[in-house]
Amino acid sequence: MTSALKTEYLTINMGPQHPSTHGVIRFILKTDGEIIHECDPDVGYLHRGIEKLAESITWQGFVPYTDRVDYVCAMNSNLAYCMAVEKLMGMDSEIPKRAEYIRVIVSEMNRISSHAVAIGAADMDMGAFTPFIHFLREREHINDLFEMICGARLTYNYICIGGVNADVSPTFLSKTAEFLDHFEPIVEQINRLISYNQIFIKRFADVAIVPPKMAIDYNLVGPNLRGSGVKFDIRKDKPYSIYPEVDFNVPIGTGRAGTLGDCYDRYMVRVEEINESIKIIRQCLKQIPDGETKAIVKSSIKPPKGHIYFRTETPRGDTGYFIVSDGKTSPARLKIRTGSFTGMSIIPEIARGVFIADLVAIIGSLDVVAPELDR
Amino acid sequence: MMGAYFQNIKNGFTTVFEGMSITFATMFVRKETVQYPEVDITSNKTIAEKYKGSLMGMPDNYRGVLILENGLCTACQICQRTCPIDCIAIENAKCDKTKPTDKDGKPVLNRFTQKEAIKTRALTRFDINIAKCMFCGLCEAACPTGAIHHTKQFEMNRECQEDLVLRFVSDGEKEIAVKRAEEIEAEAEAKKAAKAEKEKEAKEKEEQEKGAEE
Ligand code: SF4
Ligand code: SF4
Repeated sequence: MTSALKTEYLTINMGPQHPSTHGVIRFILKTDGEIIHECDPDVGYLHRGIEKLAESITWQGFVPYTDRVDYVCAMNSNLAYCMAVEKLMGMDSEIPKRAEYIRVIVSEMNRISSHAVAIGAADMDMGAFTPFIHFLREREHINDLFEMICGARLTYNYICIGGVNADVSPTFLSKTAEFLDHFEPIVEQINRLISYNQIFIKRFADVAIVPPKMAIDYNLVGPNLRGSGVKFDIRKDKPYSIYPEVDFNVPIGTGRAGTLGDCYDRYMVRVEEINESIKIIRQCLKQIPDGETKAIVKSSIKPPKGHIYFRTETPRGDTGYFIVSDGKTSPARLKIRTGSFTGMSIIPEIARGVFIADLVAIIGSLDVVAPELDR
Repeated sequence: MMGAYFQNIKNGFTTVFEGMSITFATMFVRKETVQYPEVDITSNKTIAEKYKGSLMGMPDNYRGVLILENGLCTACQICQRTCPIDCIAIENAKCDKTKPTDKDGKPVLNRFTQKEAIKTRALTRFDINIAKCMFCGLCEAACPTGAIHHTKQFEMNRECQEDLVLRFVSDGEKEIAVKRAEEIEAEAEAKKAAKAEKEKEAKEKEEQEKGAEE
């Protein structure tokens, strides 16, 4: 019997202002009742043209703009850009050792705070507000430490071409060690609070499974890729700065609570990365040498003609800066490749056939940050 | 089958209480919230007066609203060129050659060359548009005399946008500077004219002498 009733998919908008989209992203959903039939992410609401802006400002003047590319982990963005320019100028071996150590300490600290926000936000999307507050409280301590060395809490502009802008005081180092001692038990505490919570696990496990092959096909990077069980970390596989000198593991997804590559795996990779970052910082604090913190760099640099692509591991994955120089005082072309963008591109594929409520879990577990996505 | 069903219910209960125990324990942890603006957060000392948590106050190198110490500035315009978003506007005019001194009367050194700073131009305009400024600190780092620097002020509500443009050179100062520049210009002009006159005379003399020889 053919149905006399005509049925069609209902198109609804999720976003741009939606509490779980972490910024302004819009999803156009074609739904069949509760089930998503098609999900079309609409990005670009936070586009500020940062790549184009780079063409009209000086090389050093662009560093504060990289803060704004990803404000959750501004130190890592600073580092990615500065290292790319240094490589382009061929001065990457001139960077003082102390500066390298400081850079790694601050960027790992920033990784902790970024992952704390990512985890907290994922919990919040799932309806658990308390862990988010706990994590924000801890992040304030990291912000305090950063404020001590550079005078800003979020947009640091601390790492500069040639080193870092200011030396760190012994107080900073001891306070950092103190913070790590205080923070390490808290990670476990928050795990008990939410990550091991049966209700939360049931909510996250087996949702939006990304098998390893699919993750590679869709070019996922960072914790999202490792959550699918692919052991790839730029810090280990294409090491830069002083990462070869420190010992750390690369946590990967193992299907802890369900299938390999589900939301819970991606989530737990981040939790474990926090512990690895703590390990890295502890080693750096022990090994940090004395000395200069900035190589001699002219106030207005003109890197030689050429181009460079440099990748670093930021909390949202493999961030690459492609820079073309024509020997002038500003870049001829600059392109930023970010982890959020590739994370976004897989959503139409994995969101097919899931509940609308699970889409929120997917976005939370992929850790998409809107300004980094649109730049 | 039935066992798993009850197991699930039991898990659901225990897991909630596990979380609740942590939440309960947190009730006895020190409160970290800073009750701004009741608490003065501008430094480590002032914050400790009323606040018992472990967050620190603002550090001395906090990057707040910019301020200019007119006495130190040599109007070299380096900060203007360094600023990525052009929020500093400087205009200057010629002035007498002086050496800026700090509060104690000591000459100011150029931070990069360690030589005494020399001022040959006076400011006729120095505006900082705080509405545009992103407090990146590049201008402060580039200034050779340390004239421009950040303060701890971060409350920037003003009634209108014009109030957000900080003017450091008043109209009166500008008038004086412009007048002095005109005078200097006139003096230079006069000197030039006198020099030209002299040269002319000398030339004529020479020619006359030449003529006499012949
Ligand atoms: S702090 Fe940055 S944006 Fe503000 S005036 Fe100085 S250079 Fe320009
Ligand atoms: S504030 Fe500093 S950099 Fe700017 S014009 Fe004055 S002396 Fe030069």
